[in-house]
Amino acid sequence: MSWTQLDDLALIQRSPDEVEAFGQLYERHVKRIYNYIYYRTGNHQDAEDLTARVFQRALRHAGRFEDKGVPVSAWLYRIAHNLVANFHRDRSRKPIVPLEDRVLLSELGAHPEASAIQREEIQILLDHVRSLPEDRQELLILKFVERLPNAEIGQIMGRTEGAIKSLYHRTLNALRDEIVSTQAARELGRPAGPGEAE
Amino acid sequence: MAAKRSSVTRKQLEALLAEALVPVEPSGRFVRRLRARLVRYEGSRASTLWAIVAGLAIALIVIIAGFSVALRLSLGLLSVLGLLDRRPSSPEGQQAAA
Repeated sequence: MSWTQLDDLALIQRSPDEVEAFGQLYERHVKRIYNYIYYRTGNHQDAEDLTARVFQRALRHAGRFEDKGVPVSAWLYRIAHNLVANFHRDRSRKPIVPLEDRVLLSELGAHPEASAIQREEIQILLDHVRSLPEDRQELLILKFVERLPNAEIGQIMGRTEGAIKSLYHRTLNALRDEIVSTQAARELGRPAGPGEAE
Repeated sequence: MAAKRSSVTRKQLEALLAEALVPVEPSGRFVRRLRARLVRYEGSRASTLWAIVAGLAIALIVIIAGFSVALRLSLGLLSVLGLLDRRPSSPEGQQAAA
């Protein structure tokens, strides 16, 4: 039997008895879960550590997974969400995204000076994103990094599709206010940190 | 871009976010090692179960073999005792038996 032909639900149901079924599930989702955790924690070490814990927990609880119409990926994201929340609560530290580790596709072939300015602007934007409430950060990561549709984001976050659309609209407005406020502060020659607009 | 930000539209903001929030690649070594760890963890549970089954089977075989040896020894002993019992103890006895 080829594991690649089975869907996620069949794989998770076989996982307690078949090692390779979980291996296949892991291969399908590891990069998405890693990305989600990376943007929530801000560094590769913590992302690796928490990704490992997500899949270890998933393996331990695979036998208890119940099909309630929620995709397996949503279940994995919920585990990741809980672990990241615990991580921030336990350590109470501000996440930092090291730009040198990130590869920006738009930078390829760009002029070094232009790319340095772009890096700085992206860093400012990421700082603003990180100053948003947790649920809004999560929404932006799922939408832009994972490129998930609103319906799936709703399943992961435990909200309706309409609620996700509304939250997205409010998030963009809040982010725009933050950017405008920072810009205004810059023009006045005063440094403005993220979160001052609200 | 900074000048545009004061009047940043929703589309522009979405474009900026798409540029900032790009997927990152976990290291291949990490992905491979974690998979191996997960499979070994699950595999070790299976091998533990098999070790218990094999241990019980071996113990059962040893017990049966022990009983078999004890039974053979008992039968052998009884045979010897039987032969000794049937053997005449004196020549008069042998003549009487004849």
